[in-house]
Amino acid sequence: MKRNFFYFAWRELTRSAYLNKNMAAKGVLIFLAIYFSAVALFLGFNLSEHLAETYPGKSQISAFNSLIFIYVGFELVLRIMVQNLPTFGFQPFLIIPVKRKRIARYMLNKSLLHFFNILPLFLILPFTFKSAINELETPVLIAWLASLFFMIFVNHFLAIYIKWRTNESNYIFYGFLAVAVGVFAIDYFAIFDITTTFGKLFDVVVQFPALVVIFPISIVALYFLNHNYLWSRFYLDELSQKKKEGSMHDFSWLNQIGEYGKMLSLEVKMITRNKRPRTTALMSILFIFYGLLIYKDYDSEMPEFIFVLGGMFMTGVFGMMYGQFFPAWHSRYYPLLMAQNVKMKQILQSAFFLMAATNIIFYLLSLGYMYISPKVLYIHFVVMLYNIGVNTFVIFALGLSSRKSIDLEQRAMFNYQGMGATQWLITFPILLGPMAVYGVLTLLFGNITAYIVLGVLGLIGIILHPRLIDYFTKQYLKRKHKMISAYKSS
Amino acid sequence: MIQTINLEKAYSGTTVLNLPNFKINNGEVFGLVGNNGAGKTTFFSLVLDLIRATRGKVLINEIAVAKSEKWKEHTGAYIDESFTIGYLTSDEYFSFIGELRQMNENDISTFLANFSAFFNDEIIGKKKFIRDLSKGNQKKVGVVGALMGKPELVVLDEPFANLDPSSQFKLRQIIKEFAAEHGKTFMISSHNLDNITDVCERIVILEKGEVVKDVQKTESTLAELEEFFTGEKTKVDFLEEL
Repeated sequence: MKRNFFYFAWRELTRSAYLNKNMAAKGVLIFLAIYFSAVALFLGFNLSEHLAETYPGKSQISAFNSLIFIYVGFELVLRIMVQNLPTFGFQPFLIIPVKRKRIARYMLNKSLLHFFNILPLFLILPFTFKSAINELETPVLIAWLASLFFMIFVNHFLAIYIKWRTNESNYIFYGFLAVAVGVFAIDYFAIFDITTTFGKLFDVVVQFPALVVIFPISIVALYFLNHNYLWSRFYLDELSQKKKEGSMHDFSWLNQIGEYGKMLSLEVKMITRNKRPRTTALMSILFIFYGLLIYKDYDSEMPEFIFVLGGMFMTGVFGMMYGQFFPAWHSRYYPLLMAQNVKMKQILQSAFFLMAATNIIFYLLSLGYMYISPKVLYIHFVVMLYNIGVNTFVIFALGLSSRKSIDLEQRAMFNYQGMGATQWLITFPILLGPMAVYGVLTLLFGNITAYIVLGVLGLIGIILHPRLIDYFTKQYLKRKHKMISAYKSS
Repeated sequence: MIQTINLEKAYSGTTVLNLPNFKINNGEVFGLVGNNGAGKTTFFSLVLDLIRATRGKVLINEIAVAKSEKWKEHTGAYIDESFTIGYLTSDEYFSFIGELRQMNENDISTFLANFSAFFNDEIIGKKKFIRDLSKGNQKKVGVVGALMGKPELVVLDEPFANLDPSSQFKLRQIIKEFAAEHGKTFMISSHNLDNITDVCERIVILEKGEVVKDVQKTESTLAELEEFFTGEKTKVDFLEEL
C-alpha cells in the first residue's frame, strides 16, 4: 500500500461534517487549548520564584522534581477521562491487504498527536531555560530534560493501556478509581510519601545521567504492551464498544407517579444506562462539594452573594447540565415519541418533575453547609424555588431551539458533539438571571427583599406550572417537524 | 380511514410527493411499492405527522394529523430504527409501549405469547439491550411494538427487509391474521413484490411521487407488477396461451 494511512486521517479530519458544522465548538476547544498553554507558560516562567518561596534553601531542581508526581498523576487521570482511544475508523482497513501489525502501529502513532503531549512542554521549557540551566551542567541538563520529555510519553501510553483495560469492564474501572483514590490518600495523609519518592527518581537521573535510558525502555515496553493488546484483539466485537447484559434496575415504581410516570421512568433509564447522561449526572452529584471550595473561607464580613452563587450551582446543577440538552437526549428515537401514544405534555411534565425533584434533593444535601453558616437554610431555599419555578421554564424555552442530536454512548467530559450556540448561551440566563435579580434588589432594598423576591418569583412559576407546561407543549408541537428533521440529519 | 387533501411535499422546489385526493378505506390492507426515491417513506411520514406537508393535509378518521394528537391513540407505526429505544431491553420496550397503550402486564404477556414463533426465542426474556440485537431482531421488536394495543391503523415501512425467509413468511401470516381478526387497516411498503402481493388487498405503485397504478389484487397482479418494474413481460407458455 503506497498511500500512507495519514492520508486517510487528513481526509477524515478535513472532510468530517463535524468540523464544518461545529466551528463554534471547535473555536471553544481552540480557545481552551490556548488558555491552558498560556497558563502553563506563565507558570513555567514564574515557577522558580514560587519554588524559592515554598522550599527555601532547597535546590530548585529537586524541588521541581518533587512536584512532578502531582502533575503526572493528575494528568494521567485527566487523560483517562478525556483522551480518546485510538480505535476510531479502523474497521474499513481490516479486510484490505495490510498487515494488522501495521494498522496497530499506525493507530498508536496517530494517538501521539495530542494536545496533552505538547502542553507540559510549555511548562518545562521556560523553567529549564530560566532556572535549571543555571544549576546543571549541559550533559546533565540534557539527560534531565530528556527524562521529563520521555515521561510525557510514558504517561501517554500508560493512560491508553489503562483505558483499554477499564473499558473492558466496569469492575476494572472502579478498581482503577479505588487505586487512584488510595494512592492519593496515602500521599495526602503522609502514610508514605509517594510524591518525594517519585521525585527522587529524577534526582537520581541528575546524579547519574546515564540512567535516563530507563524512560525510553519503559516507553518501548508500554508501546509493545499496547501494540500487542490491539493486535491480539483486532476484531470488530472485541475492540469496539463492549456489549453488556442489561439487567439494571427498571424503575417501574416511577410509573405510578402520574400519567407522565412512564415517560419519567424512561427518562431515568436513559440517564442511568447511557454513558454520556450518566457521567453528566455523576458530575452534578460531585458539584455538591463545590461548597467546600467557595464557603471554606467564609466569615460574617463576606457578602452573602457567595451563598446565592453556591446555592445556584449546588441545587440547580443537574437541571442545568441535563437541561442544556433537553430534549435532544431523546433525539435518537424522537420520531417514536412523536408517533406513539405519548402526549408532548407528558414529556414536558416528566422533565419538569425530574428537574424539580433533583433540585429538592440537592437542596437537602446542601443543608450540610449549615455548619458554616445557618443562613444556608433559607438562602439555598429561595434559590431552589427560583430554580424550579423560573429556570426550568427558561430551559424549556431554550430547548425549543434544540436542533442537534445527542450520541448517548459517547463520553461526557469535553465532548462538544451536539453543542450548538444555544447550549453555550443557555448558561447565561440561567446563572445571570437570578444573580441580576439578587444584585439589583440587594443594592436597592437590601438582602431580605432580594430573597423574598427570588422566592416569590419561584413560587409563582411553581403555582402556574400547569399553564406554563401547556404553553410550552404548544410551542414544542409547533416545532416538532423541524426538530425531527434536524435530529435526523445531525 | 385515511384521506389526503391536495397533499404535496416539496424539497427546495422539487416535488417529491403529490397525492391530490387519495383514500385508504377502513379495514384495507394497503401496499405501497415503488423504486428508491418514489416517495413511500415520505408518504408514511406525512401520515404520522413526522414531516410537515408543503401543501394540503392528511386526515385520519376525518381529523387532520397536524392539528390534533388524537390519532396517536389508535395508530401504531414502525418506520425505521428511530422507532425503537436502544438502551431498553426488548421486554422493557414492550412494556413501555404496552403501558402507553393502556395494557396491563397480563395483556402484554398474552399479546406477546402470540409471537413466540416469530421471535424464535431470541427476543423475549433476553437481557440484551435493543441496540445490541441484530438488525433483523431489532426490526421484529419494532414491528411487534407497532401492533401493540390493537391499533386501528398500522403503518409499517419495509417490514420485510432484513428478515430471514422464515421470519418473512411468519410476518406475512401475522399481518394477514391481524387484519382478518380485527379488521384493522394496514399501510405497508416493500421492495419484495412477492410479499406485498401475498399480504395486501390493494396495491399502489408510486413513481416520482405520483400514483401510477392503483389496483385491487387479482391472480395476475404479481405478474403485472413484475412487468412494470422489470420492463419485461413474463413469458407465458405457448400451451397455456392456447
